[in-house]
Amino acid sequence: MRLIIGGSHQGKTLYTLKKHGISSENTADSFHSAENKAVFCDFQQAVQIALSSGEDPEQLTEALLRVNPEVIIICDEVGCGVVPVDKKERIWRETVGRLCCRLAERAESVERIFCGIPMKLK
Amino acid sequence: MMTLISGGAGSGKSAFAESCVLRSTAKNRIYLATMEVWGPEDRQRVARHREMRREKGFLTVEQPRCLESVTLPPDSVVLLEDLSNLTANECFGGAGFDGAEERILQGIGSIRMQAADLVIVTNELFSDGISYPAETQRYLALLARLNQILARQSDRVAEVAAGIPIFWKGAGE
Repeated sequence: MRLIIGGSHQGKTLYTLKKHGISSENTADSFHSAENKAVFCDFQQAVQIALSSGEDPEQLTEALLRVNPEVIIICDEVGCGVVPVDKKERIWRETVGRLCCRLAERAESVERIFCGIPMKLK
Repeated sequence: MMTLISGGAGSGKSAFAESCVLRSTAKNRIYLATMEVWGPEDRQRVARHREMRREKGFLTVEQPRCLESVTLPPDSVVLLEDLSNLTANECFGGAGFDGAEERILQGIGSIRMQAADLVIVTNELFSDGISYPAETQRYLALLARLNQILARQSDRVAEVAAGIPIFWKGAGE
């Protein structure tokens, strides 16, 4: 598994597809569809959907990694704003951050994209 | 030489941008201010900044949009502050979103053609996880795209955190 992080609209997906020669059809945006795709885009959104439907995103992540251990996960960094008033938003933000930490620990590589430019963090 | 500088609010990106200008060997230091001045408070602030920069030998040019209409003296180093303002002015106060990307790139292209060195200050607004209204999202997406395009064109790209530049492209001195 590899992890790509960065702010929104920084060119993370384009960078990933180009670097690994992956076609845009080989991407997914949900835990389920990511099981047989090379790239899992908008991980932060999938986490939000999981939380709002009462599922545990951590368990879903574990299940995904069991069937697709080579997946490249792309996730927006969402934690650099004012603490949201809405509790659900707060929990989401925190969950995305914590999950990224855990993914980063296990990832083969971690890259951060800024203005379309990659920086290898791990 | 073109340098793109980004960072959060109060990160010290302006001070770092100024230091880049002071290191340039070009003769004329131009501060290209894109902020639209609205009230007496703005005017006061601008006057104070103008005075501060005059002491460092800057000539201030105020141009909230349509940068292509600016004519620079020869051998200039330009500090464009800042891209997020310029983009907002073009999108919300000028001819609107349609064609804004082309207009902005054309304006910056014109400055780049004339200047010996160009330092552009932009903003890091993309990591707060907030879903804004559609028009704001459109603005953010455009600013991010401009950041990427200008980063490609730049010789150096620096993110400033706590006053310290982190070079994403090109090396610092």
